[in-house]
Amino acid sequence: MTLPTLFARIGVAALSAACLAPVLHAQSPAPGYHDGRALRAAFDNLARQHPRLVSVSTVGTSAGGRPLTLVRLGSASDEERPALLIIANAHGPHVVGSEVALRVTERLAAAYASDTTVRSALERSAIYLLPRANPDAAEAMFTRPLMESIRNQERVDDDHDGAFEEDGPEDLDGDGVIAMMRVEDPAGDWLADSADARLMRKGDRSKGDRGRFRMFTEGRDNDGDEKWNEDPAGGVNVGDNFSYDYPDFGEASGPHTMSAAETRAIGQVMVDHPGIAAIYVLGPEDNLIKAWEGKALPTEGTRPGTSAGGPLRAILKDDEPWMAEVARRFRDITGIKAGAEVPAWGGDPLSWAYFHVGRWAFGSSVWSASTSTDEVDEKNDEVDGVPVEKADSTKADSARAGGRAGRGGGGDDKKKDPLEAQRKAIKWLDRYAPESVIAWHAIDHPDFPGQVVELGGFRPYALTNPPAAMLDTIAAGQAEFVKELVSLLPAVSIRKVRVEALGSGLFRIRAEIANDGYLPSSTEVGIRLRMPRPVRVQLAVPDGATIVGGRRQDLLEPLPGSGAGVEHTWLVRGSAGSRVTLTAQSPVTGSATQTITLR
Amino acid sequence: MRRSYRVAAAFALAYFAASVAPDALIAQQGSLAALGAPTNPKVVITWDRYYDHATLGELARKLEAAHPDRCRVSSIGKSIEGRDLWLITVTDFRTGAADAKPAMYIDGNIHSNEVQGSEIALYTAWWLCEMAGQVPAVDSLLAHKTFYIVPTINPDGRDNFLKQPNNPNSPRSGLGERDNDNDGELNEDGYDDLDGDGHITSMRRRDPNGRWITSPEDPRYMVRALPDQPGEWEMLGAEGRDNDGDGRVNEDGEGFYDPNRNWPWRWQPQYVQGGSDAYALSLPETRAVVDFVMSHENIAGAQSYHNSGGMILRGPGMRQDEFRPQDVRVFDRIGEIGEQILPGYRYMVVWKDLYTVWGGELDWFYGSRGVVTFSNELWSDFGYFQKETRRDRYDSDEMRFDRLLLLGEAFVPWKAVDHPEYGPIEVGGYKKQYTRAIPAFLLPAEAHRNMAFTLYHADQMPRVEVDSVTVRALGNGLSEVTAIIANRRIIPTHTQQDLEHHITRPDYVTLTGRQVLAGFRVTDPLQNVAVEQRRNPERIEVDNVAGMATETVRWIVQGSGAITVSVDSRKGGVHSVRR
Repeated sequence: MTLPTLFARIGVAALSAACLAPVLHAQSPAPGYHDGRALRAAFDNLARQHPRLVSVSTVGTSAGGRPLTLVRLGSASDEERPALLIIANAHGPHVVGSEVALRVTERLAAAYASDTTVRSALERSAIYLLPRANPDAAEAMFTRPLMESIRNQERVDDDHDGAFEEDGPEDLDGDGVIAMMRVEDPAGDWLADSADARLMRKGDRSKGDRGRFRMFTEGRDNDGDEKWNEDPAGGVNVGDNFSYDYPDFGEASGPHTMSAAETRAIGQVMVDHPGIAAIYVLGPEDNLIKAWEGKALPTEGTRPGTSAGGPLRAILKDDEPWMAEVARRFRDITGIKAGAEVPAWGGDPLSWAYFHVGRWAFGSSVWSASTSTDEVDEKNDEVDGVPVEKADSTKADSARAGGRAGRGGGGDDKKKDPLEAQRKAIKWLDRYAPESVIAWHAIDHPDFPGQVVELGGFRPYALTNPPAAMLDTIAAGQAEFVKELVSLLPAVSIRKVRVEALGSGLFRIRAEIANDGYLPSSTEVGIRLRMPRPVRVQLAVPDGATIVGGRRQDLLEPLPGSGAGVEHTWLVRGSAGSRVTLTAQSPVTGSATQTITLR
Repeated sequence: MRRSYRVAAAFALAYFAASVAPDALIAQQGSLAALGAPTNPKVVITWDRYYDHATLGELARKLEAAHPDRCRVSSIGKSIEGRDLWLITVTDFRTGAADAKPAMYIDGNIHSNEVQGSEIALYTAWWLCEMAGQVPAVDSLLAHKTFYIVPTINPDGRDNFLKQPNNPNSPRSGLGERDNDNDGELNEDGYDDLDGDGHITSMRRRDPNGRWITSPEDPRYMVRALPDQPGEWEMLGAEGRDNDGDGRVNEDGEGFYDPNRNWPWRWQPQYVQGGSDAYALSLPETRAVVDFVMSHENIAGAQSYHNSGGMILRGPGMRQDEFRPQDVRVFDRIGEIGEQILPGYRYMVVWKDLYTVWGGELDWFYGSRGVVTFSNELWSDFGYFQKETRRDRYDSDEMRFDRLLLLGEAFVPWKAVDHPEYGPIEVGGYKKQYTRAIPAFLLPAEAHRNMAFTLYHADQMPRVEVDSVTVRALGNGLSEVTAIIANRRIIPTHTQQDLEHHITRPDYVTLTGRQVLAGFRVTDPLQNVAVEQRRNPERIEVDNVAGMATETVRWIVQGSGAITVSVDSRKGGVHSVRR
């Protein structure tokens, strides 16, 4: 693993138990967070408490043999109704996503009995959750030594030297944490930040910066190749393995797209549950703080999104206003206005959800230490002075964002000082989770005899996973948003039914098929994808009656949202008083039926 | 190199002597063997038919039983309907493990209706096994190379094509059920064999307002009326009816997805690439091949057989992708030889000369694995009369060939049937074995030429050898050992794509027998520039041995005694020299 990547990903979860309210496992290295077993048990428990509302199944197995859990929340069991899919923790270190997914489920299940909005939403629709899409990687948060892992347990020869997993990190000082490691060396590129000497900044020699340190993750060069920790255990980050703008040969992105069993299982979930109309991804990619910008396709030349033009590079213009409105509601409901704004960097589930499965796709990064304003009102001047801080500490300084420049990362602001976010984060952590900042301390390192070697930096997970005491509050806002989102799903209806008798047993039937939900029945990209399925309108007539004009069955163009409708007309020959049945149905809109008497 | 060639040749001769002498054969069989075929095959296969999946498996097992040292049969996975994807591994198992030799991967029939690729693949396995001992070059090939042959990677589609009513183009898809017309039903309205003859032909209805007439040259042949000419017939499409009463005919038959658009290199969704299916690698057959190739890094060449059009195709499939220029030179040379071996075939680049393909198999092999891969489109109109095709208003080479060489067997004569929606109509047209599949008497020739092209390709996979080892005393008990490693073939041990993306580990050159104090890669033998490898100096890592080129390594060693230098290349094989 390259240094800046790891450096950027160092975060913390190990927090002082004292400040945490509900401690689930006294022994857990990450109190308040759920390891794989505990998470599954919590969902199983919910299913037992709410047998008609919550069900839990296994839709795949991780490389490490852990179950990939799919949870369904909804009071009707059939598939043919609109659904929201929540994908959490596909990016290994984003464990907070799993915690939110669990708490959202708990809250909605509990509210079902008393909250009429929740009740009607869960009667009409369903919510599917993949609460831990990268179960192997997440387990690292519950293992000692503590290190962030993005990888599932597939064996991969990361440095292509013919040996597998021969050089991972080690806990050299025995503190149970894989920290950052700096080695004093004038050949190094790194120096201490002038604003906060605990932070490390990559020098720019053209500006006269003289590097003082080489940076590594904590560990030894186990195989003597003069690289440190370049081939750790594990293989593929599920969150980097999806097919839109997939990073070929990227770090932990897998040998090719959809190589991981976990990723493919998620692809299959979309096939098996055609009612999924929208996808909400809890992960580093975020398009709710700042909504995706659409782009009109060129009217001449080779157009993106075609065989000759290749992939779409931006969302389609017609989808933009709907997604922007949902993002606006998200900010209003949750109060989250700043945080990670990685629009999508390729290989991730969020861009896949829109571009490759054509669904309404929303992503929230949930929390970041650099932008957290929780419980820091008195310190606003320090932490919250800048209106909306765009750089995310987990990405802004990362080789990942930089290494993929020009891929999916797109709009990342390159001019910003990448350390700004870390400076904010460290202030917040100093005050609310001081264990999350490890002071640099010297060790003897056998690989660097006679050199000063120090360990320190942010503890793993701390930058993107909040102290567990905050999870309930965070989840409360997220649950409100999910409640809103599920109520925005498309909903087909039949209205303005009129029958005219034209004489001699001939009747004209007119009806409007409408979408009473907020969201259109398909995105524009979904129309091109021919997914999801369109609304099917069928008119069933009794024996003896015939349809002489209009079609017995029709597939509709997608219906815009917020009550838009389209009129249909049939001519039916039949006896007065007989009854015909009109049905409009699709998996993503649900169904509507009316019985119409000919008269 | 010369020594090892002599070894191979001597070995071949020894084997030859042990088998039946040719003169004896003439005496036994009362015939003189024509060249290019096994004189005394242990397994007799007739190459005048298309074998179903079960029979392909049986024939493979017979080959295995008859040639236990050269042929092994296994399965690399199962199809959607549970059929095995048979793998025939052909090599000389006595000269080394199959997985340690440079290997050629061959498959066929990815598209259900493109059946003859399986026969070409099976012919290759059969011919190699049966010709061993008869032609020294075959022995040498099997001594140094491995063939992984999967005759069909789409056995469900194959059996459907052979056994169900179909036309030459159906089905292209595999048999996973899909909702083609998006009405919520799966495969509810496919073709219907209205006359029960096992072929899906065309439907026509007599209609004075129709715009079609029959050809005066061949009354079976339907021709559009001229703009000012009255018509006699209305054409109603492929044989079928409206099974689901939605007012459309044949709109949701077998499949549909395209198994050759489902591969995880530049996979794109439906709006960019039709038929790519719900997600990359959604198909178990694709996954089985991918898993097999991922776990066999010795695969250095690959060939996929399709039909039709007479093409030797290489990627990339799309304008937006690029093959590295160093690799293109290799493809070009093999393609050029291919055009000689295969008259009527053209060496082409998929996106430039054919059409754009995203998520295709050959692009995955090259892009993701760095493997030199071709896809042949077997058979073309050229085959009818061995010249460029001629199509005039009232006739075509297809019709002429059918009349003159097949005596009309290729065409189902028009006959009257009662159509449930259209009333009295006629059905007729080409049988499914015509136009894309190959007529019987030409099949062996097509098989042999395509095999020969693939054998050339296979022979050009890298073959590394320790070319020379020289020892120079340095005094103090120290010696300098210099070894030259040669690749005797066109294809490098790492294509440029492989090198740039670190797909395959470096080649290892190892010295044993003395204590190694230091080791070097000699980057410029002329100027004697060397780069020290401090870690594991006894095993020097060489990034690549280019085609028909050498790499030099050097050690400083201590002591005396015999030295062994070995090279171990994932895609170039293993070889050692003792001195």
